[in-house]
Amino acid sequence: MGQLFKPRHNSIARVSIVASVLGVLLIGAVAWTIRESPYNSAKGIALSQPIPFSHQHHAKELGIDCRYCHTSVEKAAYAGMPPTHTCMSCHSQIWTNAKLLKPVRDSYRDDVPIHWNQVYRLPDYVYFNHSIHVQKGVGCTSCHTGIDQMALTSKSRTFWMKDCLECHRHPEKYLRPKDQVFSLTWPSENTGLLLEEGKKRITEYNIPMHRLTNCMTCHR
Amino acid sequence: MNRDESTETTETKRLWRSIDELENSIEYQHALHREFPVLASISEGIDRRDFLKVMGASLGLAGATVTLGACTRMPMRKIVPYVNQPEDLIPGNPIFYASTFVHRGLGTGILVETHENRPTKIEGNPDHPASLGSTDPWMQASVLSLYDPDRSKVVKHREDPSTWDEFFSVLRALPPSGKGVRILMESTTSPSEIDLLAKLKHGYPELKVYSFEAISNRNVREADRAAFGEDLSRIYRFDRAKVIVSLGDDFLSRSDARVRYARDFADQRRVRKGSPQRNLLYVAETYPSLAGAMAEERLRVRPSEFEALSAQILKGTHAGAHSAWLELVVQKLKAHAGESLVLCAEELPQELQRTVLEINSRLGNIGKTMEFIPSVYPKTDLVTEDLASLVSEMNSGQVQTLLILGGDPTYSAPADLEFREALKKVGTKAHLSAHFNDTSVFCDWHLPLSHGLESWGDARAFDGTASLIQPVIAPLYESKSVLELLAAIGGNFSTPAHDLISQYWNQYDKKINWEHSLNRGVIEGTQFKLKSGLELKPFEGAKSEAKGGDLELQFLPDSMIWDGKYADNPWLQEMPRPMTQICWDNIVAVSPKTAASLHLNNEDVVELSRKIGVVEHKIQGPVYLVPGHAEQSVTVHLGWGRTRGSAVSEGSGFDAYPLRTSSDLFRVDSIQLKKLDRQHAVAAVQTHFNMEGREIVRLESVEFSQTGKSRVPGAGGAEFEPTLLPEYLPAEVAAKTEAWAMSIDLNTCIGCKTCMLACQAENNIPVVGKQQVIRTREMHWIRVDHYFEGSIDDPKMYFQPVPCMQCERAPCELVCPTEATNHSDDGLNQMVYNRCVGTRYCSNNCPYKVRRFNFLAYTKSIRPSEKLQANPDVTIRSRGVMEKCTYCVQRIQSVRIEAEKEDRPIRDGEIKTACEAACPTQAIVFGNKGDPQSRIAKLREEPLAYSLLSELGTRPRTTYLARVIT
Repeated sequence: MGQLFKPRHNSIARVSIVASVLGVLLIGAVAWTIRESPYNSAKGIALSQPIPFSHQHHAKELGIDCRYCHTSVEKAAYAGMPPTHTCMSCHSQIWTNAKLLKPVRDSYRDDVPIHWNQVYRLPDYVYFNHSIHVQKGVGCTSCHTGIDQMALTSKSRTFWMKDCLECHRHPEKYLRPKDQVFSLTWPSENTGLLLEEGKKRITEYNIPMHRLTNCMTCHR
Repeated sequence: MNRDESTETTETKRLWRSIDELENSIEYQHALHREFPVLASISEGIDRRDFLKVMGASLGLAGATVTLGACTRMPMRKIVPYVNQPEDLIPGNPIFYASTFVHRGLGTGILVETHENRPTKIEGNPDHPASLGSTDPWMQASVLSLYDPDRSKVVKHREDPSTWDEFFSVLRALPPSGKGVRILMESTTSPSEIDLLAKLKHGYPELKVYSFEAISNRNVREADRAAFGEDLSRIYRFDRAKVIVSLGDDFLSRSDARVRYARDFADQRRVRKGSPQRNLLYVAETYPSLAGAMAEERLRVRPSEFEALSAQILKGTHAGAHSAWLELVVQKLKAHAGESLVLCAEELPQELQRTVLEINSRLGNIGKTMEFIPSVYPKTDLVTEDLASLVSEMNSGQVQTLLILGGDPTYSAPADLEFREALKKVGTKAHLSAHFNDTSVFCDWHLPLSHGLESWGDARAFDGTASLIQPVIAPLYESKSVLELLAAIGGNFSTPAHDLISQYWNQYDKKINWEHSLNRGVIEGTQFKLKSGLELKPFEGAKSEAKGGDLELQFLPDSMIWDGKYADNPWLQEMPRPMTQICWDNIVAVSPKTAASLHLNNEDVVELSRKIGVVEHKIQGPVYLVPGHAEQSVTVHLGWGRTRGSAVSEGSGFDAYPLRTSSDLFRVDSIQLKKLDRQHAVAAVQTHFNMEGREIVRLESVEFSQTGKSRVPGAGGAEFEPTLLPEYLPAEVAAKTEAWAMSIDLNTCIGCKTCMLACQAENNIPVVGKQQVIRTREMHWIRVDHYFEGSIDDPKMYFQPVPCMQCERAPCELVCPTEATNHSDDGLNQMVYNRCVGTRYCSNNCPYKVRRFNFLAYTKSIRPSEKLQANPDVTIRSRGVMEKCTYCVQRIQSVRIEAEKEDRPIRDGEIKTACEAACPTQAIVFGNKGDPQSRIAKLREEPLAYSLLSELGTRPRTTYLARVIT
């Protein structure tokens, strides 16, 4: 009986060892890429909405304050979605016949709410509270970065736990003067000199650093 | 050091929790040493091969889930804002509305927590005299009944769906004189309902109104009327009574002002350093009650012995049976004339009520500890309470139309009246009811009844204070309230209930500020004035002959489901009953000695029978041995064994009403008992989560409460026990923040279990069902343990609520492989559900056994409409996850956020945990022990303070105040 393995089998063996290692790595890399991709996180993907509402137009170009529509951002956990009435407070006067706004008028006339597709969604076991963040000097655009550039609204972050922890571990990067919280022009993240000021604000605003990463700060 | 002191000051008392434990039976030993009783169903009858198969399959499934699970993206959801947002509504922030909970006609003020107009939780209304901010189990559970999927949803005419309009045509056809029209309703004190009834009587001169309650205080009121010559209501002043003697009356759990009376009683019982005085309570009873467990001296008597006892107390003698107890009671009463109170069970006969009234009168208690006001109930010429005369009218064919508003008389009426047979002789029968129950079946019309949280109304409290019932949600189904139906009977089909109420109160008193009354829940100035100058008619002598037979029977309402009224509520069904820790069943309670003489054991099914007329009536139920029960007697609880109406109540327990007659509402002198050859398993949690006989409930003397030293490690100079458990919280971190702690006073805990229900409502705790409870898988985060001390026949009884101890050096955290349980800086032992992989190591390592594991997806079994009750601020846990008391962290966080927004420290008492807020006696206090001025810091320094199993070095944040015994 001749030899079962010829010398070329050595090469095949070596290649397959390397290939299997690479294969595992590749699978891992693909899985990781999918996980991190907008396909999974929906980051940067604008959802279709009944009305193509533009934050760019309303917030940046017209300069309407965030709180005009998101009324409970300083009072409650939720920032609040504007009732149809809020839309109609302007659009009963301007663009009254615009085709785009027909769903708004229909909603108001028929007393049927507009059904928006939710863009920012946290898991049910996360209890995020807008009011305390706003009160403690975290600006809107720190999380909703670039909202003023969006003709259609999409997530600018993954809104995963690592995003929350990034700020809860390094709040100095995001603390603003309290009168700049609703500013669209203040940088979303403090750098350089601003970072030094941010560090001072930790004591100034009584930020309880020891508590920020307690599990039950967010999970209940 | 600490322990040496303790042995000097406290006699070593042996406490036990069950008869098996006391006798240390083989079964008990076996049960105790099973490491995983919760795995009962898996470990029995499974061999190695089956095990491997199951393991293989589960591994495969786990792999599949991990792979699939990782690929699951969050589903798309909609945001649906308002079209016009109500001005005062902020989505996400709860709104509280003041309203009134009505039990047996009497109101207790409540505050209803609503989330986006969805009621989720009931709190007490601090402004209401019957609540003072606290609640009872029924109030807590009522929010779940609102969402009961078995509620009646549409009008039915002989089983066919119909409409209100069709029913109204029946009302329109009523004879103008009201001849042959009868209304049967439940007790009411509602001023607007009474006003409507008066108008009805005016419009229909021949109409008659009856009321019926299966468990009624009619005998008390009849006795008072006979004695004083007018209709009166009583107010007991427990705040003034130094000596209280109760003959079978459990005033702590079932009086008309139970929440208020429990508070007044406990206020006189709180022992603190510098204030050792407390009231004295003496109770004679058959079946152990909450009051009996609090008593200094508890006397076991057969139900027929109350006459003899009261006669002796009246005469001041103590000859014959029970002389020691009587001597003590008589001596104490004499020493505290004018500041004592003698009570007796409300169903006991009028003669006995009169004797007890006479005792109080001779002691000078009337006007001091026992006050009278004009009756809060309707006048007797307006509403007749005599069901027997209605039945005789029905039998003689005088009733053409019978309108039954609420209740289930076919089920609960005395058996001798044969209500069901009488009902057949009535022309048209309509039944307004929340469920399609035993009475509905025999009626032509079934009308859905609105829940209290969806209707307008009003009610008076025990002292006459009127309060409003306001709806917090629109009726879920096509239902109407009693008030609306009364208006419809009177021909008013269209006026909304709101207008009926507001019109009544505007005509009653123009000065009433409607908005203010609605906001506060209480209508100011409606409290009745005390009657003065009452003249007692001459007393004709006590009736003292006892005619008890060989085996007597006593009926009691169930402590959770009452007369059956709350049987549809799964929370109440699964709440372990205070004295037996049994849920989902009622029992034939007998004393161990009587059981031995009758050769009975736990769970043996027996048949109880008696002759009523010529018919032999029988019931069958499982025997359960109750330490402290009187000899030669058995007790059965009413309200069980429903056959219709609700999937929850069907099949649980047995119906005891067939043995109950008009003359024997409370006791039967002689009953036949026959042992049947079968067993019925009952779910008792008494021996679950045993702490193996360590010093759990501490008993101390009054002297110790003044001169002793706190045994809470770190407080009052007590040393920390040495421990190997790691320190999770460095002192420098702890100093920066609050240190949450809880104190539970065993002197004032009456064992009512309101805390458990409040916790269940607040923390989305699922109901698991009888079979799961038998496997020790109940999910309650706080439990109330029941301890006995002394002999098996006549033990003393103690209660101890056990929530998570929030140990500073928590043994559970040490063993968690995923750090799913860890420490927060303010000392909370956090539980992170999404990290938990379900090893249950933490639970095994917990010396207090307060951790609960979701063996099955219990929350999936919550029925769709009941999901509306869920508290949105607490995560719903799924299968395979450990959970436990969090000190209501959601309440801590919401208060903290508000305080931080205002840049101020959290005030003492600002955070109330659900159990603390609900507790009728304020036995639970929560706060920041780091603040030396806080209530909790002071309580930890009290001589009576101790921590549970402190020798383990766990340094619990939850501490107790020892029970003071004489």
